Amino acid sequence: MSCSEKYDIIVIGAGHAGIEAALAGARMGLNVLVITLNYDNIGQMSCNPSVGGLAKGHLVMEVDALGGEIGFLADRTALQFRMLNRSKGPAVWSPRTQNDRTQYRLSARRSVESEKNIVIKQESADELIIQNNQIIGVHTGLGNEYLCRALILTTGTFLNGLLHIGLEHFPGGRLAESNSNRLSDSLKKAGLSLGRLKTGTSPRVALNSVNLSILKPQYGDEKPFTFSVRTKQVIKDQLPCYITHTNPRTHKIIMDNLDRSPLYTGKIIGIGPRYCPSIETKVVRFSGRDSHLIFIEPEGRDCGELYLNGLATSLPYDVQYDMLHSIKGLEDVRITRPGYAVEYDFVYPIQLKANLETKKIKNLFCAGQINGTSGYEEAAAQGIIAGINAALNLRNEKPFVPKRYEAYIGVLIDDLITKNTEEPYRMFTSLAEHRLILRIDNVVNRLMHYGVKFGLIPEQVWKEYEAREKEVNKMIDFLKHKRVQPARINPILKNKNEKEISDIQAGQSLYQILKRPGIRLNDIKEIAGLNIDDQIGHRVEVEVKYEGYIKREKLQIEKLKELEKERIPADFDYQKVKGLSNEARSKLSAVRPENLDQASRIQGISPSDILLLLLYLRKSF
Amino acid sequence: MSPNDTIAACATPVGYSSIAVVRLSGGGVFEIVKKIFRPQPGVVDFKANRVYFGDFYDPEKKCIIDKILLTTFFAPHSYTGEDVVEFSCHGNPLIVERILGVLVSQGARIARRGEFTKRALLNGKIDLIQAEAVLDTVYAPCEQARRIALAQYEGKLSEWVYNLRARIVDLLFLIEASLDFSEEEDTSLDELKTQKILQELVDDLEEILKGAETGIKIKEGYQILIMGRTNVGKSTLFNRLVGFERAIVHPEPGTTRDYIEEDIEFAGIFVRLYDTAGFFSKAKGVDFKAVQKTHSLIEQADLILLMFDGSEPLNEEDINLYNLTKNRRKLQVVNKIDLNFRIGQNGLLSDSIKISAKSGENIDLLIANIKRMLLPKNVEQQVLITRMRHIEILKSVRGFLKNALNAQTLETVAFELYTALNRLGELTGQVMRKEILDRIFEEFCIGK
Repeated sequence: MSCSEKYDIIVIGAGHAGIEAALAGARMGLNVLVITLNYDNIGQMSCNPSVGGLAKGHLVMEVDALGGEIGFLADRTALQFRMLNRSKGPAVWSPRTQNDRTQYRLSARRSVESEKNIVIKQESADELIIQNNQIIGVHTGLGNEYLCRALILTTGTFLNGLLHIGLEHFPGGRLAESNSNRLSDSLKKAGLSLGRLKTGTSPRVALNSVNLSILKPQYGDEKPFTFSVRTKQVIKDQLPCYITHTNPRTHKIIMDNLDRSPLYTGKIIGIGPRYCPSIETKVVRFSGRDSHLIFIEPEGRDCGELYLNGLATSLPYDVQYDMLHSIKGLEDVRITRPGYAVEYDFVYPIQLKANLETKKIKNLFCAGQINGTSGYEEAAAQGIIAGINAALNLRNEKPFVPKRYEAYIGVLIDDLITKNTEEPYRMFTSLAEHRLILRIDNVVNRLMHYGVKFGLIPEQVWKEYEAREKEVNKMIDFLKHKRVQPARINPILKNKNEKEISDIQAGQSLYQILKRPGIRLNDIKEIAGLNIDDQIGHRVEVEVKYEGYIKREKLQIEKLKELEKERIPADFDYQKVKGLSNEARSKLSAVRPENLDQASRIQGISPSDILLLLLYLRKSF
Repeated sequence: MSPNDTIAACATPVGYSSIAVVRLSGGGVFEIVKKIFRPQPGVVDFKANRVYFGDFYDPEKKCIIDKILLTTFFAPHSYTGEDVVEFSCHGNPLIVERILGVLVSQGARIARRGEFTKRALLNGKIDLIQAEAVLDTVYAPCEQARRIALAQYEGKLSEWVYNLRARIVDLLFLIEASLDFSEEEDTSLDELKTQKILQELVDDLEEILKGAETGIKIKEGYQILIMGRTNVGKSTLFNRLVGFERAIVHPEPGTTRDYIEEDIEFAGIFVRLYDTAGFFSKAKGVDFKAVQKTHSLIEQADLILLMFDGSEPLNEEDINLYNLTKNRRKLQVVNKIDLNFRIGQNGLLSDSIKISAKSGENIDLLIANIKRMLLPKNVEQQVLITRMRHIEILKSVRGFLKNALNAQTLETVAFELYTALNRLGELTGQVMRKEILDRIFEEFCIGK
């Protein structure tokens, strides 16, 4: 007997994208069905047991400010907190946690289970049901039919997933988990074009077989910086990571066995990420280096396994064994699970609109690795956007698409839909042209109002934010008006090697003093008679010190908005624009940018192409 | 092949001449050629970069218009990057008109001004700097300007700009690597090295901007002012340099009342030459007005030729004029060496050149000296900017690089560099951020 049920939204997959999509949809008041291949593995961290990091930390905090879950889960299950890039400027500070893999998964599952509008089923989604170019449901492997008004695909690495260890390969989505082998065909039948990508992960080893005592530990920050506005307290005793290195002997073992590497024998056809290469790729490509860095990371608090970050590999088991044994601290190591590579299908993301809905099929959304990205954070970011937009579509409301100057999420999605990623896409701060205003200290200002509008942010959290922001503004105002006398400020300036002020300048405001490179808010706290917490202090300091840059960024954004206003009709015929190159014509026709600003970022589109388009659009519309 | 429509235009001036050239470019060139050109027997197919002799045929009136030479270029190896042919016909405006008429009736249209170059630009055959240089090459007023325009058209200035851009990209990629991959082992950036690179970039910009003044002058012309008291032979020298009787010459002092000017090219330099009135101290009425104007010319002039009459002793007026032009760049010219030399020795004449404007004696020497005074020594080797647009862009790039030198954090240095690159992009085309990341992946072992 088969069963047929009807939902507002169906989410296929329950990884980092699926969770956010389901929660956002449900919290916006819609009935959501989550279909997962394995109920136990909801929220599984497939690769390294950590969340955040450079640029990714920004994404996590943005998802959190919109009312997402990943930051809260990461804070709650953290084993270590670390702010990266602290020696650089505040725009590139990025938080990261090491996490308890099992606890993270359980917490994630609890979040989904406790959402009253969500139903979870362990089944395989096999075939989409599409009517009049609109998604209306899905058939499952058990013969059930679930109907819906919108459907979000968050399939991760499971679409035709193929695992490689040495020259052996076998179907699977993750090690010891089956893949989804029918959905890809259904997507192709629906007219979507699919590509193939590859990614890899590192071996895990037994804690009691590693000699940590001879390795250099890396500790977390004394004062933990948390991702989530909802986090009230964090663990006290953090766990360290450890650092070791490969050596020439390791490299020789790898080089000697390349003929058994699926990467170097042509077994793997999917394209892998350049920023996260396997150890064999690093050794081959950078043959001049005789050592590569490895971080040994805890898998959990009460856990007998460790993760070897930096050793992603798909070499055969015995080679992995020899390789590990050549490394300091790992001389007697026991592998608990080998590293492996996974190849999987993805949907070329230029087939998506900016709200992550497919252009071809109405109300069918894609989020996460299926769009060619990598990383939990990138997945979560797309997940929440897909969830919100599915709900907005069903409410007949305008899509929600953060701009590139509003959020890293905006950069991520815009890059995906205009550049058609060829390798797994990962976020970098250098991809954000408005990096100086996309900071973690102002993430709440940038995005939380959206979360509130969609009903994803609890009233209480918003009130707390508003109170804090008021405090920040009050403080800045105070600094602007508070004048100081040379006698009071000069000793401090002198101490900091800053030029002292003269009597004529007496009455300079503290604001002006704080703008000086050598002066921190802490230095003038006492004279100002300030008593503020670090977080507010940091916000104030950045706003004051970056003021000039922020102003310039805003000017640039105003210019962009002009291009943004030049909308291009969805059915625009690029053949009509005289003077466009063939390349420009075919790229523009493929991407179908919504406005000139978006068009200007498509690869291969030159400023003169944009000018021609602008002239044409102005003339004819 | 480009789907662009086919454009036609006459490439030579209107008028009678031995030949005239009509150019045709676009997607339909050879379709048209097949209908209107009848090559001499034996030619079956057109090859690239050949010249064919044959008849230009009007397929509607069914008659031959002219015997012509047809030169062929295939896309993308042509000026515009499209298929191009050139018809060399006899230089009669009527023939040219008929030919254009036939081309239009066969589907071409008359090209708009600059459209061939615009297509070359759009098809990536040349960059913006080069496109501008094409115009400069055509309109170069003098040998030096032509040389600079050609160098720019050949890409010398573009090369310089691209080199600057490449160095900024090089630095940016190191900065981005240290920002985005700070956990890797080899990505840390030496602050002193960054400062040094930035300083070098600023220095190079300073240098090219210093040369810009010369570049602009060469293109727009130097202003040379001939001065001297009445009757020293200013107008004679003026006419001598201009090459014809432009100014009225008369033995009566004060023949030239208002100043007169003429654009000339000599010694490869484009010059606007001014002949001024000779009375200065005692001018009244209309003459006073003329003197006032001359005063402002003195301020603008790039060079003053201060003339003295070699056949008469120095007088007070000579000294006055000498003092009036004291701080200006000038050459002292003693004229009338064909007459008795009575001017005597005077310290103020020590560097003077002695000529006869009337007979032409030593005029060559004078011209050589003018050139030496106006053109910097190594001008032939310098990359010169000749457009205000370029100067403005490079000045603002210099500004952003200076900001970068003073920026406090790496990401603000990067911000200034991106801003500089964007500005520079107005000369070179835009910068893709992916370009920077690609470099990082190429050169650093990334990924833990």
